[in-house]
Amino acid sequence: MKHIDSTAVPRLAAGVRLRALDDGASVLLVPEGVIKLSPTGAAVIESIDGQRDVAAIVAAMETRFDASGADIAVDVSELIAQFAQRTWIEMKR
Amino acid sequence: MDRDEAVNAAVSHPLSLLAEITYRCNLQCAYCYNPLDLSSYREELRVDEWQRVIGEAAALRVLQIHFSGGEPTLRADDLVVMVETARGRDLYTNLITQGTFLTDPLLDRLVAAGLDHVQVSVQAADASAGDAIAGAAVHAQKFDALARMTARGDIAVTLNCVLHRANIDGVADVVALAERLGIKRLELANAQMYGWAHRNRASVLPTIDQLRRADALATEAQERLSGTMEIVYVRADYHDAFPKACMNGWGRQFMTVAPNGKVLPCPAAAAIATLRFENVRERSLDDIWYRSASFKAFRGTTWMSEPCSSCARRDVDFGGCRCQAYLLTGDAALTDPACSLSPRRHDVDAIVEHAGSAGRPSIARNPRNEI
Repeated sequence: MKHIDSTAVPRLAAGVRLRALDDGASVLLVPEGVIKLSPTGAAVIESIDGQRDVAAIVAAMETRFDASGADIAVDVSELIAQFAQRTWIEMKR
Repeated sequence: MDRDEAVNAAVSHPLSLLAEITYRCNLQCAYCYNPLDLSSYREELRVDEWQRVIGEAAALRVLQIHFSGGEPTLRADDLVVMVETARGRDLYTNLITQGTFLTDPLLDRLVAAGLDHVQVSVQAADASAGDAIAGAAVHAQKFDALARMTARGDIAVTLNCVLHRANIDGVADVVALAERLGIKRLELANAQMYGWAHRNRASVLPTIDQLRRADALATEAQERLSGTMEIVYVRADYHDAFPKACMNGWGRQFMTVAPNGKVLPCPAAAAIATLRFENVRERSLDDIWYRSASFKAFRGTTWMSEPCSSCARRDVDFGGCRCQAYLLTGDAALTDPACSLSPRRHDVDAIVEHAGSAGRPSIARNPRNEI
């Protein structure tokens, strides 16, 4: 797993978008694929706006899920790193 | 429960629809998977019929629509309307094209209509090889389009190259080309033996040595470019121990609408002469997906016989490909002979072993050569 710089700013790559489904679940629509997201995963993707850096997204998730500490930071970084690896998320420094 | 109920109990809605809007094409690639009887598809669905189909697909909770062919940009005006209609229903829109007609004005219209992604196919990294494979002088046009698309940056592009005996030794050149163009996603897909490719198998199928070299080069490139370029490598199932999970299961996630409105569980399924496929001109997509005999025929696992029915992999690869079973054995309900557990695997082994020796020469994919 690549290290994710907490000051890097993620944004969704062209051709990638979030879609909410009728049943309340969310999916990431990517070129020739549909990725099912957990509620936390969907919240992370929702907070990626091309402005906020990774640290700000972690803080937003801590507030949203009323939790703090290393766990959320790790979960957020891992999801972003994994999707960046697949080129669905681009990182700006 | 009777068999139909059992089959349909677990059925979910389709995720993805392949809209083959025409089989006409200005290229003549010998590896094309389109059917051989191209002229049977001349009565193409009109744009208003496609708009109805798109609405029915959205109501069926389809998430992605892939516009393909033939060459879909031969119906450029209709295509723009279809993309707009699909985006209006919040569908993800993908255009699968060989890129020869992607002018800037057309790209502008497609982007304005909301097109999410374009897959452009190339035949080889260099012009003379590419033009020879395509049977048309189109290489320069394609690369001009690709360069313009990557420069404008407002459209996601996948570069696709179908691999076969005549171009597979150039895999590294195709990767290098994709790097030069700044492509983020590259699909290197070994030709699947359907339609024209099946007819031309004697010259399309690579040798085992060619394939091993390509496998190694593709794996090396995937590792080296990880995080920069996603490389999707589609293996050749004739050469593998287990068959591909074709369509992720028959009538499970995917449906194809052919240019004449026929609805198929797999783009190659029209070759299965023992099934009758429904038409969107006569029945709704919903009715066809949930209630047609053709979609139920190989749904789930109850249709299987041995060695599939007791196999631990039956929910992994779904018995392989029904069209391939039909093409190679004449019976679409048998285990895909590409599977090492199939009693017919020796037929595939013989085909693989003879790849590279002189066989029936290829014929170009065009209406004059159709059977």
